[in-house]
Amino acid sequence: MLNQKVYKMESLIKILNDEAVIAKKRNIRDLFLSETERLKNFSVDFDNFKLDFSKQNISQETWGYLLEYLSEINIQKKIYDLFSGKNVNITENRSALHFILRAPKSQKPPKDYPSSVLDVHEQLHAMSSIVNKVRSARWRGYTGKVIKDVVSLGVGGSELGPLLACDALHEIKPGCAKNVQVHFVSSMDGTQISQLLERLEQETTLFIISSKSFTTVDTFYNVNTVLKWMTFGGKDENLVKKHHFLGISANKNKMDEWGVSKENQLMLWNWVGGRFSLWSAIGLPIAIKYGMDIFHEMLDGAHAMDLHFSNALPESNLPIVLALISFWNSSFMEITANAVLPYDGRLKLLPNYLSQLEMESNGKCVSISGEKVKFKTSPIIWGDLGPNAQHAFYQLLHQGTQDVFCDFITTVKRYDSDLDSKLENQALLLQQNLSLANCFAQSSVLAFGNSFIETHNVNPHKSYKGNQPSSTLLLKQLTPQVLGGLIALYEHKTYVLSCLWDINPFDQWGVELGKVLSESTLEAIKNQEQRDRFDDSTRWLLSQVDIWSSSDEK
Amino acid sequence: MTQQDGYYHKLIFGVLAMKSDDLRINVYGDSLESWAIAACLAQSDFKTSICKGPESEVSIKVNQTYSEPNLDLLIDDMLSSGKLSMKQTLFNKANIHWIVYKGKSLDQLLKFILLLCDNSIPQKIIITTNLGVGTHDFISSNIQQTAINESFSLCHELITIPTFIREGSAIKDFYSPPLLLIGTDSIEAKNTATYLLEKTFEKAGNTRLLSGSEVEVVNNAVSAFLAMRVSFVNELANLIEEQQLSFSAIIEAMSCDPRFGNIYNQAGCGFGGIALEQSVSNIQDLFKNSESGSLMMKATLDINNDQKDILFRKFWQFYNSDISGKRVVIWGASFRANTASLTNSPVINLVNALGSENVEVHIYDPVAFENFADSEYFDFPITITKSLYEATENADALFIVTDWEEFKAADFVKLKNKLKKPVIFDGRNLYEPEEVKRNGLHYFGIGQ
Repeated sequence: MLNQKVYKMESLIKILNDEAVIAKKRNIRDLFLSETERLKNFSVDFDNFKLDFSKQNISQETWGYLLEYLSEINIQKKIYDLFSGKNVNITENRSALHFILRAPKSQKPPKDYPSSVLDVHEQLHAMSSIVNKVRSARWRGYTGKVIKDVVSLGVGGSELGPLLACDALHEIKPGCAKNVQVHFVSSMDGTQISQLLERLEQETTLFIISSKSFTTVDTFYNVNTVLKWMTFGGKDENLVKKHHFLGISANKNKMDEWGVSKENQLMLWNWVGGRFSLWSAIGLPIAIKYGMDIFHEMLDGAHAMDLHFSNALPESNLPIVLALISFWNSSFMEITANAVLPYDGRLKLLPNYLSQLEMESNGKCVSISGEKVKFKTSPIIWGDLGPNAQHAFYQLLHQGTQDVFCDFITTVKRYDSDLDSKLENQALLLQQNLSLANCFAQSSVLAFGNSFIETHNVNPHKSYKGNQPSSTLLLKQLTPQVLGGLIALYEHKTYVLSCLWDINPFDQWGVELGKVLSESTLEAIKNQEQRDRFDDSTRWLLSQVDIWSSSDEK
Repeated sequence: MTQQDGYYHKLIFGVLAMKSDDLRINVYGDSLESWAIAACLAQSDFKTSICKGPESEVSIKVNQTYSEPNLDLLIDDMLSSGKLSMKQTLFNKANIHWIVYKGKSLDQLLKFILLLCDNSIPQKIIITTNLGVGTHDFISSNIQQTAINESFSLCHELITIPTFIREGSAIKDFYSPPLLLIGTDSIEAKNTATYLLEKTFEKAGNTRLLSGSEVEVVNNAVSAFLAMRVSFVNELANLIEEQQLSFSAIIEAMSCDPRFGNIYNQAGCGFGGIALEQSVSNIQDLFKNSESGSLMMKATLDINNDQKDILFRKFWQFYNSDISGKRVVIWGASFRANTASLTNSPVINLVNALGSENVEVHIYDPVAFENFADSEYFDFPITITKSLYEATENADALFIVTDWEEFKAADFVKLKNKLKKPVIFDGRNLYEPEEVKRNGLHYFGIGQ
């Protein structure tokens, strides 16, 4: 039985490889000519999302095989495992319950985590009292002055999600808090913090230390700098910590040890991965900027996507469809790059966010059982605002020698034309249409190339080869719900991909060794006698640092 | 009026020359100002009615909250003599309509005036409001428009008379204001105003007849300047406090310089009321479309908002932020002495700041709480006390927010014995710091 299953999977992989050989010789345009109802089969419609993936180089037959492969890996069971709290993160022996972070209070918790739903709501409640206090100008610093600036200190998952959402929600009504500014600091070299501290005042600044382990080195170097700045002139450190530092972590002991006062602590759980954590207290900066109601709307949107993912049939299931497209392109078409191209300035951080989400999750070469994977796994994901990238790397997409598959993402409705809206809205509306037109034009040229040029003898320098596959995701409007749904969509896509590749998306062992080695390297920078164990290259680099540092001193 | 019967005004009213007895004046609105105007006009022998204004939804009634003993007496007098009456309905058979509008909706005021102008008879309308510069012209063009629409050659008279009555000295202000401003564009209307306020004209320090808009600017700019002066003094007090110098000595010396003068020189925990704040924002609006707007007005309000927080911060620092569960007493709630009004009073910010830090608050004010519920203003429950020392027993601090006369004679020995921690946070600089300290109390004033 098992052997039969393995055999079936092997033969499907072989079929798909054969399909890819054909596809590589085929023009995407041919698919439109031969398949009359292509859009019917290559588009998905769910709530405020519409996906057109007809411009992928996938025939109807291939799509059928991909769906068959999906059912061979028993995706329904794997989705069930995720939502029922099984230890899907097997290398760390944990569940991945990020969907519980946006579950309504009435939802039944997974069997092994009976208190999880209530725990989450308890933290949301604690979060809301902090948020309300700050937003109503009642959080005070050590001199009794009201807090005017909030600085989030965190890196990776503790920063990217909140940063994305804070940026993306700018146009919502009633808009952001007027009495507080929210800032983000992550870089370990001090660039951001030193610039920020020049503008801030000790008396009126509140810091959020966001770190799941509460030991993240990058973050704590920034924390140390900030604490020195805050206590300058012999101010009472306990008083300063009590009124100016919030901690968000899964490690209560470490927060106590550092001196975050009890009422300033917000808890995470080990079952939330950093890159899946913006729905937890890690989202505090979002809630401070826009209010708890907006934060809840984001959670609701993500929860709606959770329900869609666990209930919809595979062929109309957005996360599954996106995953199959990426699976096909990376593993069979051997395309190594995936560009994320939002045509809405509010989503300019989305490519960055997705780089972390997908590459940290699925940049793996070992299967769940510890063997070498059968496929090429996560492609390189990068991107920028589409309209800006048109003036940058689109040249390579159109005429370079690399194959790249693209994700176009755009909102459709933007800028009210109500009577009471801003005077310039009419003009802004034209800009929105221009942006949509560019989005659609670029994906057409990428797919169909020269077919838009009427003459037959095309100058080779002005020739477009076309055949770069892409999908276009339309968002009705960028509301907090839609943003929540969009992020959850990519979370689930990432999970489905990991199932297709048979890898664990919830660990990130690859980032550990560099951290360990940096400790001894730091020692070696200070102490020349501790360099023996390093390679020639590192020793040379260290010696050059010695030379320039000492000449600077003179 | 003391004139004998039969005294006729000569043509001041043009064709309508008549005995003052025949004039019927309606004063609209239910505020201290409308009652004061109505009572004083009645006293001048005009047949005066006080009527529901544009914004009041409740029926008009004799209001006892104004803590103006003389005014209350005059109102009673005029009502019983029949010179003043109360009308519950919109009554437009009058010759002159004086609308005292305290609301914030220009639309509401306009609708009300259009109603008065609805019966094909030219109306004489006086408006006293502080809706900002442009109000007069806006209403004027609208009522003339209706006149044209109805193809009558109607010419309504519109006069703007800015507030010249202050709470606490209403009657005196009516008869002898330092400056009486009459704003209108027609000669007839000027005559109406001159006739109606004949006595006031005689005794006013100065009188200016200007256009409606000009009067609005004068009125708002003067108040805004005073507000600015208060914010300047407050800012200076805070800066001086940091330098460990004596603010009281400095401001006293400054006042001796005639270029600086000696009014509105008190440092305090922020100004309140309607007039100053409203004027500042009106001037801000007036210059809104200018390049940088009014930087002066923005700073004025920012400083004042911060100043309203200053007593709380002194308290917070005194207890090193350990204030949860403490119990404090506040003397004074109204935005200044001799008024019951809590509008924009610094006490609102103070109570809410204390409440959100879980501090129990007791307030004593001679009049402010007689007629309305504290919940209208405060986000946290407070206890109202009936006498000065009632709640001071075992309290952790005493705050002073209003400069009521009776607070000035505080018994420091008594306070020292009653308070658990003898500390006073004085937002009005009522006491001599050395004297308070001699009696063993901690004392924190503004700029001291």
